[in-house]
Amino acid sequence: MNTLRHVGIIWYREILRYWRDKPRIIGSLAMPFFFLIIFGSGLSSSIGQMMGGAAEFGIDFKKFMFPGIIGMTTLFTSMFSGLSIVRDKEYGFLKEILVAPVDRLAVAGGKILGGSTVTMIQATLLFLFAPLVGVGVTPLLVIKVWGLVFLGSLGFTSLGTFVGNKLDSAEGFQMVMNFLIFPMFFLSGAFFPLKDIPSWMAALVRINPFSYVVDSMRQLFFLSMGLPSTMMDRLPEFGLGISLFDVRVTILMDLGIMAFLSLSLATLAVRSFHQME
Amino acid sequence: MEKVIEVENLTKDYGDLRAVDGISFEVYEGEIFGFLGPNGAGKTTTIKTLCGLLAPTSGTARIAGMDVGENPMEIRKQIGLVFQTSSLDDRLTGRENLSFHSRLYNVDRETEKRRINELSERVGLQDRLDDRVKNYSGGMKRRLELIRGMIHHPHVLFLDEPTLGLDPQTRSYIWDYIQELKKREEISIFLTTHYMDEVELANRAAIIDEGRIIALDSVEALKDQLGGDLIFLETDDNEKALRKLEEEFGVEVEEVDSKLKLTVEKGEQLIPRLTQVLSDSIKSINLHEPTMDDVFLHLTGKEIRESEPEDNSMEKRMMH
Repeated sequence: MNTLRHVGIIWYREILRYWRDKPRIIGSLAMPFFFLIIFGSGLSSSIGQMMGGAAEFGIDFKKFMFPGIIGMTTLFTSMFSGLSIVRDKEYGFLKEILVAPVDRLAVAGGKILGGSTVTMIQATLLFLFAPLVGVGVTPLLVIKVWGLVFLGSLGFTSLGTFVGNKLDSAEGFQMVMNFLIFPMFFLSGAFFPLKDIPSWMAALVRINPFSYVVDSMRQLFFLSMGLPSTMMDRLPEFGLGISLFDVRVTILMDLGIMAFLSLSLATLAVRSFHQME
Repeated sequence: MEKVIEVENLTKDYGDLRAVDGISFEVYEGEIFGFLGPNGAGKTTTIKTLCGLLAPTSGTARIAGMDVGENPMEIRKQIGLVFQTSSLDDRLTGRENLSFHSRLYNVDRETEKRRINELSERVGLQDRLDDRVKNYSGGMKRRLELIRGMIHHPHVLFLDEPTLGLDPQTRSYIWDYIQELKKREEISIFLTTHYMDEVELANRAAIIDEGRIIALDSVEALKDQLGGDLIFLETDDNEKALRKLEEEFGVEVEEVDSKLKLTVEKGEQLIPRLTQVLSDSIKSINLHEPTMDDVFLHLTGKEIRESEPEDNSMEKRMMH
Protein backbone atom coordinates (compact mmCIF):
# COMPACT_ATOMS: atom_id res chain seq x y z
CA MET A 1 0.00 0.00 0.00
CA ASN A 2 2.82 2.32 0.96
CA THR A 3 4.70 1.33 -2.15
CA LEU A 4 1.72 2.23 -4.30
CA ARG A 5 1.45 5.63 -2.63
CA HIS A 6 5.15 6.23 -3.23
CA VAL A 7 4.76 5.30 -6.90
CA GLY A 8 2.08 7.98 -7.07
CA ILE A 9 4.30 10.65 -5.47
CA ILE A 10 7.23 9.96 -7.78
CA TRP A 11 4.90 9.78 -10.78
CA TYR A 12 3.35 13.13 -9.83
CA ARG A 13 6.74 14.84 -9.76
CA GLU A 14 7.53 13.56 -13.26
CA ILE A 15 4.26 14.97 -14.58
CA LEU A 16 4.79 18.27 -12.78
CA ARG A 17 8.25 18.63 -14.29
CA TYR A 18 6.89 17.83 -17.74
CA TRP A 19 4.08 20.33 -17.35
CA ARG A 20 6.50 23.06 -16.25
CA ASP A 21 8.58 22.54 -19.39
CA LYS A 22 6.27 24.07 -21.99
CA PRO A 23 8.93 24.53 -24.68
CA ARG A 24 9.53 20.79 -24.53
CA ILE A 25 5.82 20.04 -25.06
CA ILE A 26 5.58 22.32 -28.07
CA GLY A 27 9.04 21.50 -29.42
CA SER A 28 8.45 17.78 -29.39
CA LEU A 29 5.56 18.25 -31.81
CA ALA A 30 7.86 19.85 -34.37
CA MET A 31 9.62 16.72 -35.55
CA PRO A 32 6.49 14.63 -36.19
CA PHE A 33 4.97 17.63 -37.94
CA PHE A 34 7.93 18.06 -40.31
CA PHE A 35 8.08 14.36 -41.02
CA LEU A 36 4.43 14.21 -41.79
CA ILE A 37 4.19 17.38 -43.87
CA ILE A 38 7.55 17.54 -45.62
CA PHE A 39 8.31 13.86 -46.09
CA GLY A 40 4.69 12.94 -46.40
CA SER A 41 3.97 15.50 -49.12
CA GLY A 42 7.33 15.16 -50.84
CA LEU A 43 7.36 11.41 -51.11
CA SER A 44 3.67 10.85 -51.47
CA SER A 45 3.65 10.30 -55.21
CA SER A 46 6.75 8.11 -55.49
CA ILE A 47 6.24 5.95 -52.41
CA GLY A 48 2.49 6.09 -52.94
CA GLN A 49 2.98 3.57 -55.74
CA MET A 50 4.11 1.09 -53.13
CA MET A 51 0.82 1.05 -51.23
CA GLY A 52 -0.31 -1.85 -53.37
CA GLY A 53 -3.84 -3.03 -52.87
CA ALA A 54 -4.31 -0.69 -49.92
CA ALA A 55 -4.35 2.25 -52.31
CA GLU A 56 -7.71 1.10 -53.64
CA PHE A 57 -9.14 1.83 -50.21
CA GLY A 58 -7.87 5.39 -50.22
CA ILE A 59 -4.68 4.80 -48.27
CA ASP A 60 -1.97 7.10 -49.50
CA PHE A 61 1.54 7.63 -48.15
CA LYS A 62 0.50 10.25 -45.61
CA LYS A 63 -2.19 8.02 -44.18
CA PHE A 64 0.35 5.21 -44.14
CA MET A 65 2.79 7.40 -42.24
CA PHE A 66 0.40 8.70 -39.60
CA PRO A 67 0.36 5.58 -37.39
CA GLY A 68 4.13 5.34 -37.93
CA ILE A 69 4.51 8.88 -36.63
CA ILE A 70 2.52 8.02 -33.51
CA GLY A 71 4.84 5.05 -33.13
CA MET A 72 7.85 7.31 -33.60
CA THR A 73 6.68 9.68 -30.87
CA THR A 74 6.09 6.71 -28.60
CA LEU A 75 9.62 5.44 -29.20
CA PHE A 76 11.41 8.79 -28.86
CA THR A 77 9.47 10.16 -25.90
CA SER A 78 9.66 6.88 -23.99
CA MET A 79 13.33 6.29 -24.55
CA PHE A 80 14.26 9.89 -23.73
CA SER A 81 12.24 9.83 -20.52
CA GLY A 82 15.26 7.98 -19.12
CA LEU A 83 16.96 11.36 -19.25
CA SER A 84 15.01 12.33 -16.13
CA ILE A 85 17.05 9.91 -14.06
CA VAL A 86 20.32 11.25 -15.49
CA ARG A 87 19.19 14.80 -14.68
CA ASP A 88 18.28 13.74 -11.15
CA LYS A 89 21.78 12.37 -10.81
CA GLU A 90 23.40 15.51 -12.17
CA TYR A 91 21.35 17.82 -9.98
CA GLY A 92 21.72 15.60 -6.93
CA PHE A 93 18.00 15.04 -6.46
CA LEU A 94 18.39 11.28 -6.88
CA LYS A 95 20.22 11.17 -3.52
CA GLU A 96 17.15 12.62 -1.85
CA ILE A 97 15.01 9.87 -3.37
CA LEU A 98 17.42 7.03 -2.68
CA VAL A 99 17.88 7.78 1.04
CA ALA A 100 14.14 8.09 1.65
CA PRO A 101 12.37 5.14 3.26
CA VAL A 102 10.99 4.11 -0.11
CA ASP A 103 11.13 0.76 -1.84
CA ARG A 104 13.24 0.93 -4.99
CA LEU A 105 10.39 -0.81 -6.78
CA ALA A 106 8.31 2.31 -6.12
CA VAL A 107 11.04 4.57 -7.47
CA ALA A 108 11.27 2.49 -10.65
CA GLY A 109 7.49 2.26 -10.94
CA GLY A 110 6.97 5.99 -10.52
CA LYS A 111 9.65 6.87 -13.05
CA ILE A 112 8.46 4.35 -15.65
CA LEU A 113 4.78 5.21 -15.30
CA GLY A 114 5.66 8.91 -15.37
CA GLY A 115 7.49 8.41 -18.66
CA SER A 116 4.59 6.40 -20.05
CA THR A 117 2.08 9.05 -19.07
CA VAL A 118 4.12 11.78 -20.75
CA THR A 119 4.39 9.58 -23.85
CA MET A 120 0.63 9.11 -23.93
CA ILE A 121 0.06 12.85 -23.70
CA GLN A 122 2.54 13.52 -26.51
CA ALA A 123 1.02 10.80 -28.67
CA THR A 124 -2.48 12.17 -28.09
CA LEU A 125 -1.38 15.63 -29.20
CA LEU A 126 -0.52 14.13 -32.60
CA PHE A 127 -4.21 13.69 -33.32
CA LEU A 128 -4.15 17.45 -33.92
CA PHE A 129 -2.43 16.64 -37.21
CA ALA A 130 -4.96 13.98 -38.24
CA PRO A 131 -7.16 16.37 -40.27
CA LEU A 132 -4.10 17.53 -42.24
CA VAL A 133 -3.56 14.04 -43.62
CA GLY A 134 -7.23 13.13 -43.84
CA VAL A 135 -7.28 10.51 -41.10
CA GLY A 136 -10.66 10.18 -39.42
CA VAL A 137 -10.58 10.10 -35.62
CA THR A 138 -13.19 8.47 -33.39
CA PRO A 139 -13.15 8.34 -29.59
CA LEU A 140 -12.87 4.56 -29.77
CA LEU A 141 -9.81 4.83 -31.99
CA VAL A 142 -8.16 7.23 -29.54
CA ILE A 143 -8.80 4.86 -26.63
CA LYS A 144 -7.34 1.93 -28.57
CA VAL A 145 -4.30 4.01 -29.52
CA TRP A 146 -3.81 4.86 -25.84
CA GLY A 147 -3.75 1.18 -25.02
CA LEU A 148 -1.08 0.47 -27.62
CA VAL A 149 0.99 3.52 -26.74
CA PHE A 150 0.84 2.61 -23.06
CA LEU A 151 1.94 -0.96 -23.63
CA GLY A 152 4.72 0.05 -26.00
CA SER A 153 5.93 2.92 -23.87
CA LEU A 154 6.23 0.72 -20.77
CA GLY A 155 8.93 -1.25 -22.51
CA PHE A 156 10.80 1.68 -24.03
CA THR A 157 10.56 3.82 -20.89
CA SER A 158 12.01 0.88 -18.98
CA LEU A 159 14.83 0.56 -21.48
CA GLY A 160 15.51 4.31 -21.34
CA THR A 161 15.44 4.28 -17.55
CA PHE A 162 17.75 1.28 -17.46
CA VAL A 163 20.28 3.09 -19.65
CA GLY A 164 19.82 6.25 -17.57
CA ASN A 165 20.65 4.32 -14.41
CA LYS A 166 23.88 3.12 -15.92
CA LEU A 167 25.11 6.50 -17.17
CA ASP A 168 26.14 9.69 -15.43
CA SER A 169 25.95 12.38 -18.09
CA ALA A 170 23.15 13.73 -20.21
CA GLU A 171 25.48 13.97 -23.21
CA GLY A 172 26.45 10.31 -22.88
CA PHE A 173 22.82 9.36 -22.55
CA GLN A 174 21.90 11.19 -25.73
CA MET A 175 24.65 9.43 -27.67
CA VAL A 176 23.61 6.00 -26.47
CA MET A 177 19.98 6.78 -27.17
CA ASN A 178 20.65 7.82 -30.77
CA PHE A 179 22.57 4.61 -31.19
CA LEU A 180 19.56 2.60 -29.98
CA ILE A 181 16.68 4.65 -31.34
CA PHE A 182 17.63 5.24 -34.96
CA PRO A 183 18.19 1.64 -36.00
CA MET A 184 14.93 0.70 -34.29
CA PHE A 185 13.13 3.55 -35.98
CA PHE A 186 14.42 2.96 -39.51
CA LEU A 187 14.05 -0.81 -39.32
CA SER A 188 10.45 -0.72 -38.19
CA GLY A 189 8.53 0.20 -41.32
CA ALA A 190 7.31 3.36 -39.60
CA PHE A 191 8.63 5.40 -42.49
CA PHE A 192 8.45 3.36 -45.66
CA PRO A 193 6.83 0.08 -46.74
CA LEU A 194 9.12 -2.88 -46.14
CA LYS A 195 8.73 -4.24 -49.62
CA ASP A 196 11.46 -6.08 -51.54
CA ILE A 197 14.00 -5.46 -48.80
CA PRO A 198 17.13 -7.64 -48.54
CA SER A 199 16.67 -10.71 -46.38
CA TRP A 200 19.20 -9.59 -43.73
CA MET A 201 17.15 -6.46 -43.32
CA ALA A 202 13.90 -8.39 -43.15
CA ALA A 203 15.44 -10.45 -40.34
CA LEU A 204 16.43 -7.29 -38.45
CA VAL A 205 12.92 -5.91 -38.86
CA ARG A 206 11.52 -9.04 -37.24
CA ILE A 207 13.81 -8.91 -34.19
CA ASN A 208 13.25 -5.20 -33.76
CA PRO A 209 10.79 -4.76 -30.88
CA PHE A 210 9.64 -1.42 -32.24
CA SER A 211 8.38 -3.09 -35.46
CA TYR A 212 5.53 -4.62 -33.51
CA VAL A 213 4.47 -1.30 -32.03
CA VAL A 214 4.33 0.22 -35.51
CA ASP A 215 2.62 -2.85 -36.94
CA SER A 216 -0.14 -2.90 -34.33
CA MET A 217 -0.68 0.85 -34.68
CA ARG A 218 -0.90 0.59 -38.44
CA GLN A 219 -3.37 -2.30 -38.36
CA LEU A 220 -5.51 -0.35 -35.92
CA PHE A 221 -5.66 2.65 -38.26
CA PHE A 222 -6.15 0.58 -41.41
CA LEU A 223 -9.08 -1.21 -39.81
CA SER A 224 -10.53 2.10 -38.74
CA MET A 225 -10.08 3.37 -42.33
CA GLY A 226 -12.28 0.50 -43.47
CA LEU A 227 -9.78 -1.97 -44.88
CA PRO A 228 -11.56 -5.34 -45.22
CA SER A 229 -10.11 -8.39 -43.48
CA THR A 230 -9.19 -10.06 -46.78
CA MET A 231 -7.02 -7.04 -47.45
CA MET A 232 -5.60 -7.10 -43.91
CA ASP A 233 -4.39 -10.67 -44.49
CA ARG A 234 -2.43 -9.54 -47.54
CA LEU A 235 -0.61 -6.64 -45.83
CA PRO A 236 2.77 -8.47 -45.50
CA GLU A 237 2.69 -9.01 -49.24
CA PHE A 238 2.85 -5.24 -49.81
CA GLY A 239 5.38 -4.67 -47.07
CA LEU A 240 2.69 -3.05 -44.97
CA GLY A 241 2.64 -5.77 -42.34
CA ILE A 242 4.89 -8.38 -40.77
CA SER A 243 4.83 -12.14 -41.11
CA LEU A 244 6.62 -14.59 -38.87
CA PHE A 245 7.26 -18.10 -40.29
CA ASP A 246 4.79 -17.33 -43.07
CA VAL A 247 2.05 -16.45 -40.61
CA ARG A 248 0.71 -12.93 -40.66
CA VAL A 249 1.22 -11.14 -37.33
CA THR A 250 -2.18 -9.96 -36.10
CA ILE A 251 -2.83 -7.18 -33.62
CA LEU A 252 -3.28 -9.76 -30.90
CA MET A 253 0.10 -11.30 -31.65
CA ASP A 254 1.63 -7.82 -31.67
CA LEU A 255 0.10 -7.19 -28.25
CA GLY A 256 1.50 -10.47 -26.93
CA ILE A 257 4.99 -9.67 -28.16
CA MET A 258 4.81 -6.14 -26.77
CA ALA A 259 3.57 -7.35 -23.40
CA PHE A 260 6.39 -9.87 -23.15
CA LEU A 261 9.03 -7.29 -24.10
CA SER A 262 7.65 -4.61 -21.81
CA LEU A 263 7.59 -6.98 -18.88
CA SER A 264 11.18 -8.14 -19.50
CA LEU A 265 12.49 -4.61 -19.91
CA ALA A 266 10.58 -3.38 -16.84
CA THR A 267 12.16 -6.18 -14.79
CA LEU A 268 15.56 -5.12 -16.07
CA ALA A 269 14.89 -1.50 -15.08
CA VAL A 270 13.63 -2.38 -11.58
CA ARG A 271 16.71 -4.52 -11.02
CA SER A 272 19.00 -1.67 -11.99
CA PHE A 273 17.34 0.48 -9.31
CA HIS A 274 18.03 -2.13 -6.68
CA GLN A 275 21.69 -2.15 -7.64
CA MET A 276 22.11 1.60 -7.24
CA GLU A 277 23.98 2.91 -4.23
CA MET B 1 22.48 9.67 28.34
CA GLU B 2 20.94 7.74 25.50
CA LYS B 3 23.23 6.81 22.63
CA VAL B 4 21.78 7.59 19.21
CA ILE B 5 24.73 6.45 17.14
CA GLU B 6 27.09 3.64 18.06
CA VAL B 7 29.92 2.74 15.74
CA GLU B 8 32.34 -0.06 16.42
CA ASN B 9 35.41 -0.85 14.36
CA LEU B 10 33.81 0.34 11.17
CA THR B 11 35.86 -0.27 8.04
CA LYS B 12 35.02 0.46 4.43
CA ASP B 13 37.18 -0.48 1.45
CA TYR B 14 36.77 0.64 -2.13
CA GLY B 15 38.75 -2.01 -3.93
CA ASP B 16 42.30 -1.58 -2.67
CA LEU B 17 41.59 1.74 -1.05
CA ARG B 18 40.69 1.73 2.64
CA ALA B 19 38.47 4.80 2.98
CA VAL B 20 37.47 4.21 6.59
CA ASP B 21 39.81 2.24 8.81
CA GLY B 22 38.33 0.71 11.95
CA ILE B 23 36.70 3.74 13.53
CA SER B 24 34.64 3.63 16.74
CA PHE B 25 32.62 6.37 18.36
CA GLU B 26 29.29 7.17 19.98
CA VAL B 27 26.92 10.08 19.63
CA TYR B 28 24.57 10.93 22.48
CA GLU B 29 21.02 12.18 22.43
CA GLY B 30 20.81 15.90 21.91
CA GLU B 31 24.42 16.69 21.18
CA ILE B 32 26.18 18.17 18.19
CA PHE B 33 28.95 15.81 17.24
CA GLY B 34 31.61 17.14 14.93
CA PHE B 35 33.54 15.03 12.47
CA LEU B 36 36.53 17.00 11.38
CA GLY B 37 39.07 16.18 8.75
CA PRO B 38 40.50 17.16 5.39
CA ASN B 39 38.86 16.15 2.11
CA GLY B 40 39.27 12.48 1.39
CA ALA B 41 39.65 11.63 5.09
CA GLY B 42 36.58 9.36 4.98
CA LYS B 43 33.86 11.67 6.32
CA THR B 44 31.33 11.23 3.54
CA THR B 45 31.96 7.50 3.39
CA THR B 46 31.19 7.30 7.11
CA ILE B 47 27.92 9.19 6.66
CA LYS B 48 26.91 7.04 3.70
CA THR B 49 27.56 3.90 5.72
CA LEU B 50 25.58 5.22 8.69
CA CYS B 51 22.64 6.01 6.42
CA GLY B 52 22.69 2.54 4.93
CA LEU B 53 23.70 3.77 1.47
CA LEU B 54 26.93 1.80 1.63
CA ALA B 55 27.48 -1.58 3.22
CA PRO B 56 30.46 -1.61 5.61
CA THR B 57 33.35 -3.94 4.78
CA SER B 58 33.50 -4.88 8.46
CA GLY B 59 32.42 -3.58 11.84
CA THR B 60 29.02 -2.44 13.04
CA ALA B 61 27.01 0.75 13.14
CA ARG B 62 23.78 1.25 15.07
CA ILE B 63 21.35 4.12 14.93
CA ALA B 64 18.73 4.44 17.66
CA GLY B 65 19.67 0.91 18.67
CA MET B 66 19.10 -0.60 15.23
CA ASP B 67 21.84 -2.13 13.15
CA VAL B 68 22.14 -0.18 9.90
CA GLY B 69 22.47 -3.30 7.78
CA GLU B 70 19.39 -4.99 9.18
CA ASN B 71 16.53 -2.57 8.93
CA PRO B 72 17.40 0.11 6.40
CA MET B 73 13.81 1.36 5.95
CA GLU B 74 13.26 1.90 9.68
CA ILE B 75 16.61 3.65 9.99
CA ARG B 76 15.92 5.97 7.08
CA LYS B 77 12.82 7.22 8.88
CA GLN B 78 14.96 8.01 11.92
CA ILE B 79 17.50 10.15 10.13
CA GLY B 80 17.59 13.40 8.22
CA LEU B 81 20.32 14.09 5.74
CA VAL B 82 21.70 17.30 4.30
CA PHE B 83 24.10 16.44 1.54
CA GLN B 84 27.39 18.03 0.70
CA THR B 85 26.13 19.17 -2.69
CA SER B 86 22.69 20.40 -3.60
CA SER B 87 19.90 17.84 -3.86
CA LEU B 88 16.88 20.00 -4.67
CA ASP B 89 14.61 19.90 -7.69
CA ASP B 90 15.01 23.43 -8.99
CA ARG B 91 12.07 23.18 -11.35
CA LEU B 92 9.77 22.79 -8.36
CA THR B 93 8.99 25.42 -5.73
CA GLY B 94 10.43 25.32 -2.23
CA ARG B 95 7.10 24.15 -0.88
CA GLU B 96 6.83 21.39 -3.47
CA ASN B 97 10.30 20.15 -2.56
CA LEU B 98 9.32 20.02 1.12
CA SER B 99 6.00 18.42 0.32
CA PHE B 100 7.60 15.74 -1.86
CA HIS B 101 9.91 14.91 1.03
CA SER B 102 7.08 14.76 3.58
CA ARG B 103 5.11 12.36 1.45
CA LEU B 104 8.03 10.05 0.82
CA TYR B 105 8.52 9.93 4.59
CA ASN B 106 4.81 9.27 5.23
CA VAL B 107 4.21 12.50 7.12
CA ASP B 108 0.46 13.07 7.25
CA ARG B 109 -0.96 16.11 5.46
CA GLU B 110 -1.76 18.09 8.58
CA THR B 111 1.66 17.61 10.15
CA GLU B 112 3.23 18.37 6.77
CA LYS B 113 1.49 21.72 6.60
CA ARG B 114 2.32 22.65 10.18
CA ARG B 115 5.97 21.58 9.87
CA ILE B 116 6.48 23.45 6.60
CA ASN B 117 5.06 26.60 8.17
CA GLU B 118 6.95 26.49 11.43
CA LEU B 119 10.29 25.40 9.98
CA SER B 120 10.27 27.82 7.05
CA GLU B 121 9.50 30.65 9.44
CA ARG B 122 12.45 29.73 11.61
CA VAL B 123 14.87 30.07 8.71
CA GLY B 124 13.13 33.07 7.17
CA LEU B 125 11.93 31.32 4.01
CA GLN B 126 8.19 31.65 4.58
CA ASP B 127 7.76 34.36 1.94
CA ARG B 128 9.72 32.56 -0.75
CA LEU B 129 8.20 29.09 -0.41
CA ASP B 130 6.15 29.37 -3.58
CA ASP B 131 9.04 30.49 -5.76
CA ARG B 132 10.83 28.03 -7.98
CA VAL B 133 14.05 26.85 -6.38
CA LYS B 134 16.03 27.88 -9.44
CA ASN B 135 15.47 31.49 -8.35
CA TYR B 136 16.92 30.86 -4.87
CA SER B 137 20.36 32.03 -3.76
CA GLY B 138 22.92 29.51 -2.51
CA GLY B 139 22.15 30.36 1.09
CA MET B 140 18.40 29.95 0.58
CA LYS B 141 18.88 26.57 -1.02
CA ARG B 142 20.94 25.45 1.95
CA ARG B 143 18.28 26.66 4.38
CA LEU B 144 15.62 24.81 2.43
CA GLU B 145 17.66 21.61 2.55
CA LEU B 146 18.24 22.07 6.27
CA ILE B 147 14.57 22.24 7.12
CA ARG B 148 13.71 19.52 4.62
CA GLY B 149 15.98 17.20 6.59
CA MET B 150 13.99 17.96 9.73
CA ILE B 151 10.40 17.79 8.52
CA HIS B 152 9.84 14.17 9.47
CA HIS B 153 11.17 14.64 13.05
CA PRO B 154 14.31 12.56 12.67
CA HIS B 155 16.34 11.38 15.67
CA VAL B 156 19.62 12.37 14.08
CA LEU B 157 20.35 14.98 11.49
CA PHE B 158 23.41 14.37 9.36
CA LEU B 159 25.00 17.51 7.98
CA ASP B 160 27.67 16.73 5.43
CA GLU B 161 29.74 19.90 5.02
CA PRO B 162 26.67 22.10 5.44
CA THR B 163 28.36 25.35 4.46
CA LEU B 164 30.61 24.11 1.68
CA GLY B 165 30.92 26.58 -1.17
CA LEU B 166 29.11 29.42 0.62
CA ASP B 167 30.62 32.84 1.24
CA PRO B 168 31.74 33.63 4.82
CA GLN B 169 28.76 35.81 5.62
CA THR B 170 26.27 33.20 4.43
CA ARG B 171 28.17 30.51 6.29
CA SER B 172 27.86 32.35 9.54
CA TYR B 173 24.13 32.94 9.25
CA ILE B 174 23.53 29.33 8.20
CA TRP B 175 25.23 28.44 11.46
CA ASP B 176 22.97 30.75 13.40
CA TYR B 177 19.99 28.98 11.84
CA ILE B 178 21.38 25.54 12.66
CA GLN B 179 21.81 26.54 16.29
CA GLU B 180 18.39 28.10 16.39
CA LEU B 181 16.79 24.96 14.94
CA LYS B 182 18.79 22.80 17.32
CA LYS B 183 17.36 24.72 20.27
CA ARG B 184 13.77 24.14 19.22
CA GLU B 185 13.95 20.55 18.04
CA GLU B 186 14.85 17.47 20.02
CA ILE B 187 17.51 16.31 17.69
CA SER B 188 21.09 15.14 17.65
CA ILE B 189 23.36 16.47 14.94
CA PHE B 190 26.20 14.66 13.28
CA LEU B 191 28.26 17.22 11.42
CA THR B 192 31.18 16.74 9.10
CA THR B 193 33.34 19.64 8.11
CA HIS B 194 36.79 20.61 7.06
CA TYR B 195 36.30 24.14 8.34
CA MET B 196 38.03 24.21 11.71
CA ASP B 197 35.95 27.03 13.14
CA GLU B 198 32.70 25.14 12.50
CA VAL B 199 33.56 22.23 14.69
CA GLU B 200 33.89 24.60 17.62
CA LEU B 201 30.11 24.84 17.57
CA ALA B 202 29.96 21.13 18.40
CA ASN B 203 29.84 19.64 21.87
CA ARG B 204 32.24 16.86 21.06
CA ALA B 205 34.37 16.18 18.05
CA ALA B 206 36.34 13.43 16.41
CA ILE B 207 39.29 14.30 14.25
CA ILE B 208 39.66 11.97 11.31
CA ASP B 209 42.64 11.67 9.03
CA GLU B 210 43.28 9.05 6.38
CA GLY B 211 40.31 6.98 7.53
CA ARG B 212 41.31 6.81 11.19
CA ILE B 213 40.09 8.73 14.20
CA ILE B 214 43.14 10.36 15.72
CA ALA B 215 41.40 12.22 18.54
CA LEU B 216 37.95 12.21 20.08
CA ASP B 217 36.91 14.40 22.98
CA SER B 218 34.94 17.47 23.93
CA VAL B 219 36.00 20.44 21.89
CA GLU B 220 37.33 22.12 25.06
CA ALA B 221 39.43 19.11 25.99
CA LEU B 222 40.83 18.88 22.49
CA LYS B 223 41.96 22.46 22.73
CA ASP B 224 43.41 21.87 26.18
CA GLN B 225 45.73 19.29 24.67
CA LEU B 226 47.71 22.23 23.41
CA GLY B 227 48.32 23.37 26.99
CA GLY B 228 46.57 26.69 26.86
CA ASP B 229 46.78 30.08 25.20
CA LEU B 230 49.75 31.43 23.32
CA ILE B 231 51.13 34.89 23.90
CA PHE B 232 53.56 36.42 21.42
CA LEU B 233 55.66 39.35 22.57
CA GLU B 234 57.86 41.76 20.68
CA THR B 235 60.32 43.64 22.88
CA ASP B 236 63.32 45.96 22.55
CA ASP B 237 65.58 43.40 24.12
CA ASN B 238 64.32 39.83 23.86
CA GLU B 239 67.13 38.30 25.87
CA LYS B 240 66.57 40.52 28.84
CA ALA B 241 62.81 40.14 28.69
CA LEU B 242 63.10 36.36 28.44
CA ARG B 243 65.12 36.17 31.66
CA LYS B 244 62.77 38.50 33.45
CA LEU B 245 59.70 36.51 32.43
CA GLU B 246 61.14 33.19 33.54
CA GLU B 247 62.09 34.66 36.92
CA GLU B 248 58.80 36.40 37.51
CA PHE B 249 56.24 33.88 36.21
CA GLY B 250 58.11 30.58 36.15
CA VAL B 251 56.84 29.80 32.67
CA GLU B 252 58.75 28.44 29.73
CA VAL B 253 59.53 31.04 27.09
CA GLU B 254 60.75 30.37 23.57
CA GLU B 255 62.10 32.74 21.02
CA VAL B 256 60.46 32.23 17.64
CA ASP B 257 61.09 34.51 14.65
CA SER B 258 62.43 37.26 16.93
CA LYS B 259 59.26 37.06 19.01
CA LEU B 260 58.86 35.56 22.46
CA LYS B 261 56.32 32.79 22.70
CA LEU B 262 54.68 31.87 26.03
CA THR B 263 52.30 28.99 26.53
CA VAL B 264 50.04 29.80 29.48
CA GLU B 265 46.58 29.22 30.88
CA LYS B 266 44.18 32.16 30.88
CA GLY B 267 46.37 34.35 28.76
CA GLU B 268 44.00 37.30 28.88
CA GLN B 269 44.54 37.61 32.64
CA LEU B 270 48.30 37.48 32.34
CA ILE B 271 48.63 40.32 29.87
CA PRO B 272 48.14 43.20 32.37
CA ARG B 273 50.84 41.71 34.62
CA LEU B 274 53.18 41.24 31.68
CA THR B 275 52.98 44.92 30.84
CA GLN B 276 53.77 45.81 34.45
CA VAL B 277 56.83 43.59 34.61
CA LEU B 278 58.28 44.48 31.21
CA SER B 279 56.86 48.01 31.19
CA ASP B 280 58.27 50.16 28.38
CA SER B 281 60.26 47.54 26.53
CA ILE B 282 57.13 45.90 24.99
CA LYS B 283 56.52 46.79 21.36
CA SER B 284 53.53 44.51 20.76
CA ILE B 285 51.53 41.79 22.46
CA ASN B 286 49.52 39.19 20.64
CA LEU B 287 47.22 36.74 22.40
CA HIS B 288 46.32 33.61 20.47
CA GLU B 289 43.67 31.27 21.83
CA PRO B 290 44.00 27.75 20.44
CA THR B 291 41.63 26.85 17.62
CA MET B 292 40.81 23.54 16.03
CA ASP B 293 43.37 24.45 13.37
CA ASP B 294 46.06 24.32 16.00
CA VAL B 295 44.70 21.03 17.31
CA PHE B 296 44.77 19.49 13.88
CA LEU B 297 48.25 20.82 13.20
CA HIS B 298 49.39 19.56 16.58
CA LEU B 299 47.98 16.05 16.00
CA THR B 300 48.87 15.47 12.39
CA GLY B 301 51.75 17.84 11.77
CA LYS B 302 49.92 19.27 8.78
CA GLU B 303 47.40 21.99 8.13
CA ILE B 304 43.91 21.45 6.81
CA ARG B 305 43.67 23.38 3.64
CA GLU B 306 40.44 24.68 2.29
CA SER B 307 40.25 22.77 -0.89
CA GLU B 308 37.83 21.69 -3.58
CA PRO B 309 34.86 19.51 -2.71
CA GLU B 310 35.40 15.78 -2.84
CA ASP B 311 33.58 15.30 -6.08
CA ASN B 312 33.22 17.66 -8.99
CA SER B 313 29.46 17.88 -9.00
CA MET B 314 29.54 21.51 -7.85
CA GLU B 315 31.50 22.38 -10.90
CA LYS B 316 29.23 20.29 -13.07
CA ARG B 317 26.17 22.06 -11.75
CA MET B 318 27.61 25.44 -12.50
CA MET B 319 28.20 24.47 -16.08
CA HIS B 320 24.60 23.55 -16.71
